[in-house]
Amino acid sequence: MHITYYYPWGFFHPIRSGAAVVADRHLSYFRARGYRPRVIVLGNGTAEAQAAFEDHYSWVEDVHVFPPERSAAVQRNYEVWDFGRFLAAHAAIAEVPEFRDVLSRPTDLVFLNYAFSAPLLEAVPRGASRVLESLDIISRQFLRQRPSAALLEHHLGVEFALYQMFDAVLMINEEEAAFAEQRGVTNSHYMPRGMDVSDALGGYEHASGVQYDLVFVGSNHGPNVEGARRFYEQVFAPRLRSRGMRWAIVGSVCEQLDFRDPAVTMLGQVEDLDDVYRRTKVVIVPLFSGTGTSIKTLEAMAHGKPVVTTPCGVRGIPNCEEQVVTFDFDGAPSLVAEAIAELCQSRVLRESYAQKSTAYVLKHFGPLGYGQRMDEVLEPLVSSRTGSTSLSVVRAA
Amino acid sequence: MLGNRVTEPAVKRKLVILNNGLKDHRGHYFETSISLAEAARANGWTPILATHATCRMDMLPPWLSVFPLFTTDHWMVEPPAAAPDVAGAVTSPYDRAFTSFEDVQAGRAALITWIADRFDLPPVEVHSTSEATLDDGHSAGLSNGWRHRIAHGACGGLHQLRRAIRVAQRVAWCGERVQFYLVPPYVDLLLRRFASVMTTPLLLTIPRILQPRFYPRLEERLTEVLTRDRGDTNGSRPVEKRAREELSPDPATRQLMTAARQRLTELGIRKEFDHAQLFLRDLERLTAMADIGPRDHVLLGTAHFRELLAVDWFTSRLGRERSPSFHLEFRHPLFCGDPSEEAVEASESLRLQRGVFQLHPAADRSQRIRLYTDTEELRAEYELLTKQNFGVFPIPFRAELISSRSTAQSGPLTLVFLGDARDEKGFHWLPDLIERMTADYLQPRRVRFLLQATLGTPAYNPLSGPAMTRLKQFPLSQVELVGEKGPLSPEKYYELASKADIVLLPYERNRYRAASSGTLAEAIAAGRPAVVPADSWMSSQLAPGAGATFQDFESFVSAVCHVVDHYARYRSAAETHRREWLKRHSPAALVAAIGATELEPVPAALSAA
Repeated sequence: MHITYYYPWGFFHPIRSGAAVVADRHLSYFRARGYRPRVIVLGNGTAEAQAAFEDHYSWVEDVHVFPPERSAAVQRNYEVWDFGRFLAAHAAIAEVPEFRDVLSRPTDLVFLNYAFSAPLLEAVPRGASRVLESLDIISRQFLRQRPSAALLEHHLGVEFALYQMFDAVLMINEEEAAFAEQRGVTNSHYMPRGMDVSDALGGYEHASGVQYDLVFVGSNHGPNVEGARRFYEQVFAPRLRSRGMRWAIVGSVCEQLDFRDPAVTMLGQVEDLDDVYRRTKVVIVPLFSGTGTSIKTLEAMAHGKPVVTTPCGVRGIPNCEEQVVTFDFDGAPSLVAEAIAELCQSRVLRESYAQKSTAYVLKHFGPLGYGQRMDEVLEPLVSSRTGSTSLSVVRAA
Repeated sequence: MLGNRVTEPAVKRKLVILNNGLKDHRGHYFETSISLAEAARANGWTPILATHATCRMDMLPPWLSVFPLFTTDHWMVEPPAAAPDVAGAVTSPYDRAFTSFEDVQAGRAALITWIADRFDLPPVEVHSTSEATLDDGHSAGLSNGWRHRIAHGACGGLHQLRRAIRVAQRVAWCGERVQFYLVPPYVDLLLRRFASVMTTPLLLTIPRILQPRFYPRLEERLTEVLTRDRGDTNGSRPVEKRAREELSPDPATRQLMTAARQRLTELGIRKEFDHAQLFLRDLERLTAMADIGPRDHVLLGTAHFRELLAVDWFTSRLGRERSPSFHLEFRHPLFCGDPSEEAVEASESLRLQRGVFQLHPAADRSQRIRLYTDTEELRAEYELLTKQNFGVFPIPFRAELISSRSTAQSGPLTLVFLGDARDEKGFHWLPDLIERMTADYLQPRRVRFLLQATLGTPAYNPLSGPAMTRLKQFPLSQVELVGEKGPLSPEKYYELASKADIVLLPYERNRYRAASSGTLAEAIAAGRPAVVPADSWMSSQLAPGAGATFQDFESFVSAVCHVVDHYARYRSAAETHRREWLKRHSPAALVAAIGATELEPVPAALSAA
């Protein structure tokens, strides 16, 4: 079976974002089922980065990289953080001859990420099954904080209409999947992230290298930038720095921050995130807006790290009160600081959280359950095309 | 094109429930809107609710698509609300390609065409230097106007000022700590007392620009300037802006609008024209943003002639092929007494209303507008006055939320008053009624009163306020007041209605001669006897023996007592009648009536008498 897989944020290895975690999980699933997808990524990268990516995914059929600047129309629209513009960018991508050529090659299954990539369907062959990994209700994320209800409704209407163009829409957040269904989306499937429990479990006391008390991992996405700033202003600077705490920030979020504080280390993009987690005591997830599931919280839990976060930071992670420390950062910054200090000081407490959180991840978001759910969604699509239950045949083998 | 689908996608019509007066739970607007939306959804429509811009969103169900776009309400007492920021979305329906999503799915149209119908995408050749980046999360299209530059610079300056103030606050904190530890406690105490006394006068001398508590408001205003410069009418003065602009680029529509402006100005009600213009703008936005097309229907459940004018202009310009079907329901009575030509001639108000209705073209050019009332009596009034054809719609409500109440019960009968406490609803009669019933009914615990006490605007209800004061003096075991603090939530309202054994409607007969009553509709559907004004629509709806009528206060008291004395008989008749009522009046019946119009042409205007 031929699969075309599209990812819009550049190379998803090394993993630097929640979306990359999801994409990596998709590819792992396909690999486990014996498929070799054709991978298409939109974005820029150095030759070294591309080589590293292709090396990591050497088992796929091929990798195609499309830099946005290849087309003025694509670049012009892709640089603007706007739902309509991103849709227009992808419509323009589908018109670029070399890209259209790749998209239109024979394929059985087209697998796209994010609703704004729907215009790419214009170029895919007729008859191919179409699956969308929605990740979040992304249209909401394009709106600034506190958008008007009318504009939000407009964006939701467009996104839910686009879902109808797919045979199946995967949603990582159970509440959002239910919401979409209430709004008339009949092809959505709640697909919780399959996560591995990492070998960075615990390990702080034995880790070598520079150690940190806190770490925050995030892309340069607006909510991440805002969250880091607010945490710094309200909690870290006035209440934790004086206790000698050290805070590491990982990811492209560093590009948007200017703390200039010796107690804060901007690590930027790192090759080995597991190693950073290993050298850190506590993970903070100071998010105040966002949709979908907080992958970074799940990731931290999977690494056996205690997490201190906001109510927004546990979205899509139900009933995790015993596994994650949740506070209203705005309303009680002193309490947040005290909780963090307590966790940093108590190894026993950290290990307790480590055991509870990894057990939670295995139970609710483990890779086994993920694979079974993906089979349930994809098998009807595959069998309708190939006339056999290809997935189960491979699995049995 | 996408054409990949073996079967044609199912076409779902949209039913837009437009109520620009809907802001909260008050009145029946909320209940009727939700009940209609539920019925539409159950019958295969896609319901959309369009409300006032300030409508509370938290009270609305998540499954319902809601557009709080309308800046004017029914009453025009308050200034128009600020238009919500909708930058980035297409807000004008006139230039759309009207590509349906079904056509996209079936491969008959390109997705990008549909996208361009929904989003305000800049022309390919325009290169803007002020496009937003991932950093600030702002949508594109900011212009380089001078207001934008000043506002942008001011925002930057504000941040610098905030930073400086934070530094000053830290210095002050250090100083306070030094004082605490190094200054003798007595002196410290004196200094603190002095500071607390001087704080207020000091604040009055410090410019507000230096007081951080004003920064959120300042930033909000600056942001409003930024968004206003996008060229939309989002802002505080759309009417003046429209006045400076040509009324409409379409000659026929411009003619209609010019005639309306002139006529309404002559009649001394120019304000109605201004509000009609605002309604038109908001209607245009709704149609574009909700992707409403010729297969869809728009119901204005509480319409006035100003909305009719706006709909005329809208459909005139948009044209028959692209307009949705509009159903305007007029629910306010026109005549104080029996309707007649003589009454029209004798009333300046009625002649004025006839004059404005004449602005509605006798031949509806778009053939997309139908007019209705909700009672036969009201239809007769409107047809007499306007010489237009009106239909009659069923009354929608959610009676299933009123729980059944056994007739075989112990304890006093509960007499209930529901709805806002207004003079026209006879709220001021209640204290006297209660006093008259005290000896023979209240004290022997044969009855008790449960009254919704949500007071209407005092200026328009001068009698209800004092009545409320009197009611509060009765013992709680005899008279219970509910909802004094504000409109009842739907749950509380139906909880109250469910407790009723008898529903009291001491309404002013002249005001309610022809008008419907949602409260009565609910009472009949729940099988509860009611006491209503005689010779009114309400009395015509009561089945024989299912309630009692009155002509004045004395007969009102007598009617209530009679129903109490023969309650079992009244209750039995009311319960028998409810099934018949429900066959005619329900949300599903109204939705079906709207759908049935697709098979009928728009009726022509009545010939002149």
